[in-house]
Amino acid sequence: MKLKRKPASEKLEIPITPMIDCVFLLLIFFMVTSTLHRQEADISFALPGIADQSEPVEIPDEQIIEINADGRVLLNELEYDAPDVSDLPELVDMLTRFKATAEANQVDAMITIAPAARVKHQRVVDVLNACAAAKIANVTFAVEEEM
Amino acid sequence: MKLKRQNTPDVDVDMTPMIDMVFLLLVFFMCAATMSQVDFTPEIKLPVAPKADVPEDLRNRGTINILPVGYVLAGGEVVSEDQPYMVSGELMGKARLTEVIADHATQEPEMRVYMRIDRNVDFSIVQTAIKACAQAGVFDIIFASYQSRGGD
Repeated sequence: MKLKRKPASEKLEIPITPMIDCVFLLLIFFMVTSTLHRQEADISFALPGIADQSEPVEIPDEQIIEINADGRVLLNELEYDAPDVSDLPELVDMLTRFKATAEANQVDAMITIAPAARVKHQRVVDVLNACAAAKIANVTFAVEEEM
Repeated sequence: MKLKRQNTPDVDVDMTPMIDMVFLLLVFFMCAATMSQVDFTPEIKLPVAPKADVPEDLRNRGTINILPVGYVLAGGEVVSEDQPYMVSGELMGKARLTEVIADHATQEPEMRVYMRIDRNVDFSIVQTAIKACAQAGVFDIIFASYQSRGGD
């Protein structure tokens, strides 16, 4: 029996166009979603830790900023800025002068923030932001002991 | 005069390098997208601090999310004053939080705690978290914030 030879197999070509379409679509999707994510920034502070006693301890110049539950900011019993002002220009001005004085006296400028329990976090960050604006890096929080 | 007809060569654009590049970019953005999702709860409205700086060094960070009281999670759980802290998707109170931080700190002694706190959370809740950090022996704390008030 004579077998019919199959016709020469056609040249196999994989269509890559739909694949490229798909890949581009995914690429654009991931590019857009990654840029939509808002950039987060840092505002840092350090808790008072254990001091190393082998070196002489320099006593820093410390000021305490109180924040009342209604958002009023007090430094040395004096109120700075209105409770609804978020950039606190008066406080920044005062802190800048405090920093300059501390530098002139060759001591570290240090700020302790003592907010009331009901203060909203945004207000605490406003004060931290004011410290950052005055370039005071030594900031910590007052934490009362639980009895 | 007889002009010799030029044989036009078959113009074939080589697609391979382009596809290579596109795949590379695709993989990069996919990785970047999944990495930025780690323990970031998008519902948190961070406070705004224009003077905050964008970090370059993101190593050794442990994230604590502090959600506003009354917030309902996707799973139906409601955030209460006793359990407002969220680490790796798990809601917890102060005792468990201290445990988790101490556990992380033993694995990574250089750890810094990155607190993502909603702008409307009361300071008493933040204070409890700060105390938990101090008890666990971590003294380096960072508050997350946005640099500008965008859209909200």
